Amino acid sequence: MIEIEDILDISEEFVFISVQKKHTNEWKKGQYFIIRYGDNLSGEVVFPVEIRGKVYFGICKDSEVYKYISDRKGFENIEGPCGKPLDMSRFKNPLGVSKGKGIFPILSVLEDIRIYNIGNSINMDLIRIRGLSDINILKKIIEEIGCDVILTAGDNELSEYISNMNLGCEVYACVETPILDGTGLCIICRVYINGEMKLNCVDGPWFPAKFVDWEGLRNKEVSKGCLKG
Amino acid sequence: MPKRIRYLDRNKEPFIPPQERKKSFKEYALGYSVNLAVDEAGRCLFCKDAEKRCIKGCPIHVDIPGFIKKILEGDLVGAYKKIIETDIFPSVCGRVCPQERQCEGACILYYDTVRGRKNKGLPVSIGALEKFVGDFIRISGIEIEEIPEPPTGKRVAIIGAGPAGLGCAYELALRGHEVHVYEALPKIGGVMTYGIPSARLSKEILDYEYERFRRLGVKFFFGKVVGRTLSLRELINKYDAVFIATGYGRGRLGLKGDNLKGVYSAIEVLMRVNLFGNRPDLGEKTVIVGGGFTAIDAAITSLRLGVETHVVYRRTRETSSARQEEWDHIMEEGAIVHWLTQPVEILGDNGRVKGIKCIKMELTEPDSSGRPKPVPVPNSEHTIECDSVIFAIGQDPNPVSYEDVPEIKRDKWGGIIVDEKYRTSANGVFAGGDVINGGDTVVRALAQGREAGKFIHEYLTES
Repeated sequence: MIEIEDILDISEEFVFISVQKKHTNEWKKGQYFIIRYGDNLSGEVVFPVEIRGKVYFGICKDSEVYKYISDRKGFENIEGPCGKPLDMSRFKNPLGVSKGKGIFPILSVLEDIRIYNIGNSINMDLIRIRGLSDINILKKIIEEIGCDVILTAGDNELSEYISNMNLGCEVYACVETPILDGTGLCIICRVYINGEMKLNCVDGPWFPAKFVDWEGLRNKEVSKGCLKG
Repeated sequence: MPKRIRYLDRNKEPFIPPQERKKSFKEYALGYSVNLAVDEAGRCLFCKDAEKRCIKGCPIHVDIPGFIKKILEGDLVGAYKKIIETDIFPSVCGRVCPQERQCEGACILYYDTVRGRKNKGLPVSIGALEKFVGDFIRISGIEIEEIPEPPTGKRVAIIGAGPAGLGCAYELALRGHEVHVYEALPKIGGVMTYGIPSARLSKEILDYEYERFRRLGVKFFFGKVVGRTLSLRELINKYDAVFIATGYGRGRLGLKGDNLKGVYSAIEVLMRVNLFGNRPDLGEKTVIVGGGFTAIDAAITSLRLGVETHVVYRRTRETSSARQEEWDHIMEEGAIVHWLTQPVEILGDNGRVKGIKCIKMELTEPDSSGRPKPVPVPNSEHTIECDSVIFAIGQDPNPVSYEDVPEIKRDKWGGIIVDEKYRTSANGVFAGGDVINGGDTVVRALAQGREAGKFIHEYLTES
């Protein structure tokens, strides 16, 4: 059992947890981990976020993994880092737009002040994420503060919508698919990028949004027990 | 008085009846009782030249007459010890090896390998006897002492806890080396855990084997994806030797319509059911594409999920790599097999699978694999309606673990090239199992792992 070292209650919906495992410090921006828990080793994809020099993982309070770790103060295993790092070196002025737990993959890559969350804001000492009531305001925000790339996460529909908004900058999406092993074995997470089959677990989860086959992703099965990346 | 040769009275292993067994994932081959095992052991002729026959036919060269003799003597611990001299997993190999093409195919009662002619009998049921011995030791709780040699102070990292990795870990641990196994998935076994359904290989067996390794002092690090969690370069720097046994682990599809909802890789279906205990939505009728072990395992699984199961295979039963009796088993359970049938396109409606378009094939002259080449029969296209399609057509290598070390030479498919001592082109790095041979049986991977372990020992003690 891997014990939870620290829990930070950041909002009504989310908490951050940390564990003392050396390999959880060895990630690069854009990568993720898989928490395994319970007898069946169910999994939850989580993204690392550095807060005050320490690595935390954000999880939803209404998730099964949260219920599990609340009862036991730990879980069975944490795998990773998985996926390809996202190279942000060529961008100077990035902006993040998230929905729901999509704030975590973006927080994993960007500073919090550059992130807009559809719905509620989170405003506390640890992180400050602005709420966004209407996605169509985005154009105005970009005009005001400038941006050369948008990162979107939390919802494929949102990512597709932003990609189609023609905002005059590149859009990278953290693609949501089921993920099982995280090593490219089962190919449940296949996604077509510019007509070529890629695996979200090893080639992703970040892809240039304009090349993603969003229609194909809408057809993906997400049955109970699957992880959503 | 000369021994009466019992050519035909081979003892059949008892099975749960097909209609009963397909209702659950409980193991359906029940195994020999002590009486049946002793009686079957009595059929062995203990050929003096067995090393040219059954022992040669076994990829890991188990002393078959040796362990069968121990069964006849009532010494089952002795039989177990005899088997694990070479095959560390009797309960696994007794269940999953294609014995009819290996040891049993070379049993003199059935085929005289020395003279190269067929005989009139049925082979000794070597697989069932091996399984009996392994199961007896495990179920009875007898602890077999496997004592490692004194510590050498050398440390070896093994990447992958499948058959090759475990074979190597065992060999090196016995020889006193400190062995650390890095595994991406949460359990040991590789394909034995995530691939083979528990109806064919109970997961209790691998739990038992895991404890054996722990007693030997082997340390496992689960959830460690080498190439992601830590790099191969780090392992090379940290350990005296590294053994790569990552298997052939990147799934592939490749047919028009393969992005429709309801298209699966067999590994996905097997892994979801076997490892994570969840159920893919196969609808009421599924078509499995392929004719190897994985296709059979997918069929066993879909039948147990209550799904009407069809298998399409472009060759014939005789040329398939799966076991003949496994084909019998799935057909008894209701699977419909379409031989000489090649899928052409997956058909969809509203983004969801509604059928698979196929074409009939006929066999012509042998191809480069030595098997007759299937070619399409003109105007034989037809459609099989279905709700899902499962691809069981092989895999590509998964270079995640070794792509950051370019000095490791790869073949044109991306697998690792090794010499006769399993050495890669990087100093101190060895490889074995499917990652070097492109996909083979559990027992071959196990054999390679143990053999590689011997060469690694040689390397460690010479340097």
